Amino acid sequence: MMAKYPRSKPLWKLYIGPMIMALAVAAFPMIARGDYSYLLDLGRLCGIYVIIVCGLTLLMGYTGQISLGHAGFYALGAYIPAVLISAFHWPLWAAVIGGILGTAVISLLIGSSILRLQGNHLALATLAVGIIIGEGVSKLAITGGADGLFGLPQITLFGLLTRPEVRVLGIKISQGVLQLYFIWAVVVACIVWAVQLIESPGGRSLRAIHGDEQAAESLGINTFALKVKVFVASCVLAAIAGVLFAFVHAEGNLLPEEFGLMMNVQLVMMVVIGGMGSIWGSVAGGVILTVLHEVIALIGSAAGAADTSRIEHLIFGVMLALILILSPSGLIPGLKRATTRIIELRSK
Amino acid sequence: MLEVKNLTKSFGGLRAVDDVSFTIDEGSLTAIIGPNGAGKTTLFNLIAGALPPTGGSVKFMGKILPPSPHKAAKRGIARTFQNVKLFHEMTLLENVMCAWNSGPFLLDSILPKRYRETERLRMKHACYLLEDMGLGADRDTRAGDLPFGKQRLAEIARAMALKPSVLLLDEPAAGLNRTEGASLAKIIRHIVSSGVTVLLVEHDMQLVMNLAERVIVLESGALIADGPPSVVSRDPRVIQAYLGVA
Ligand SMILES: Nc1ncnc2c1ncn2[C@@H]1O[C@H](COP(=O)(O)OP(=O)(O)OP(=O)(O)O)[C@@H](O)[C@H]1O
Ligand SMILES: [Mg+2]
Repeated sequence: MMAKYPRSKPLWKLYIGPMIMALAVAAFPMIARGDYSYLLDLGRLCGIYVIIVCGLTLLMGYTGQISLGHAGFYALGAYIPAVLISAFHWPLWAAVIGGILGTAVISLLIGSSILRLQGNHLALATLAVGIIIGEGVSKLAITGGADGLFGLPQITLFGLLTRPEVRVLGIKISQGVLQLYFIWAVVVACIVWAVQLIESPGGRSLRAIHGDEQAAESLGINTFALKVKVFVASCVLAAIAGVLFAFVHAEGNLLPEEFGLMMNVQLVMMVVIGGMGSIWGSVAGGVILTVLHEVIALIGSAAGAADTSRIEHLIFGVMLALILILSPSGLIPGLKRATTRIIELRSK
Repeated sequence: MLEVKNLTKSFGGLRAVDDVSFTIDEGSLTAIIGPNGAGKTTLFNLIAGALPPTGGSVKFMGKILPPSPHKAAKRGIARTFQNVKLFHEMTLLENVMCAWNSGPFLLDSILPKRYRETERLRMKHACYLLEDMGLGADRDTRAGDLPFGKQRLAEIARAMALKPSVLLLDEPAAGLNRTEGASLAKIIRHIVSSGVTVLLVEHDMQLVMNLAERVIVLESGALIADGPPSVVSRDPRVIQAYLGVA
């Protein structure tokens, strides 16, 4: 008798998701009508957060190691190159590469000193790292303190991103749209890399660490080394997001508010909303929370409130608590379960 | 091939393993028995590098084993756990494939074509290993959804995927029913006949007396008897140790 063996998943299937995403973003400005510069702004920000959350999902969702401090590495990605430019007059691209490599080295040092910690201890240690870096950039003189850094050069992509508009095959594409495309091209690249990692033998080892660290070790997996590797990888993604924020999105004005304590919480919430277990969940989590943030600000300003950050903290806090109580596996998996339950009940 | 010398492990004031020495020959099957809390699991943890010894050493093929489980595993020491540790969220097939994790992490994630062919062969090999344990039909089942007996066997299949020279089995028969126990005995014999050196911690005396060529008895961390089953089972100290706790 011939036994049948399972086939591995065909490789092209991995790329369907990223393709759809790329097409959706590409189509967005063609579908949107009226003055949508505000939506472009939001779309760019969504992309930046999705990159961070994608890395954080590899770390938290797949490897089971918590980090409450990734806003710190996001900040490093923005501030290291900004400081290299403003204080040391480095050229832009050298500064950007320096920023990403610098973040990699710093996260390697931090990761290898804290990743032996488990659970709550790791959570606290990473939170401390996030707070220290966040406070650092908002207090140090070299980072411009609370005033931030101004007049930073922008990534131009050989002049492509600085023109008011570009014509491709007779279609006019405005600067805002090009910036959106550029950011989301990076997002797609990061996601392609992440899904490839998850499918690879290394990705399986990450899930093994999440499943049972002792068992993973007993199978020859160097769990500590691997945890450090994903940690560094996730920090590099955060740094890339930081670069995009400072040198594409923020239009040359880098303020420390973006990297405060609340950002750490928000990033973790994006992961939790996405269900911690899938890259596509993290994309959804990133987009949902960024949009929610804007909606709260809009409603707030319509109601005449000057500062909505307090009420936003409250709403996010209550949301996080509710999700963790009602559906610890995350909001999206929870909703999925709930809808199947409702369908089941209806059909009875 | 495995040389345990004056091995000692203390937890605070408690000597869980107390000055234990023995040598294991290649291809042999040795049982390690002893009442609850005698230090059997601790001894396994020391051999597998999961715990650093307080004193003494474990030599494997003439070299001291580093106190690191993944290094011990790479050197050819595989183990199962008393309280089965499968990756519950993965299928059995994936569980077994977790034993094959070498490869450059970053490069593999960038160029997925690199590992496709090896992964295909690995998948096939994993299927064979599961079939050997009679788990062929369950290969796509989530490990956490399987009954306990099958989980135990799957854990052995996963350990065998390391192609170990030494296999440490910590109470593999605990929680198995009679038929599963019988097939376990067959599986262990098969593993030994394939050249793997097996150390077996087990409370099921019938299984031990049936299978083992040699029995080592621990009591309160100390080695109190070492010899063929027929001799050890008549040793007055062994009888005393077991009656003492009964
Ligand atoms: N990590 C630890 N910290 C403190 N004490 C421990 C630790 N591990 C084991 N012990 C103690 O060491 C002694 C030996 O335990 P061990 O688990 O090795 O016994 P065992 O022979 O495997 O018993 P059983 O048959 O119940 O599995 C016990 O008294 C146990 O409480
Ligand atoms: Mg034990």
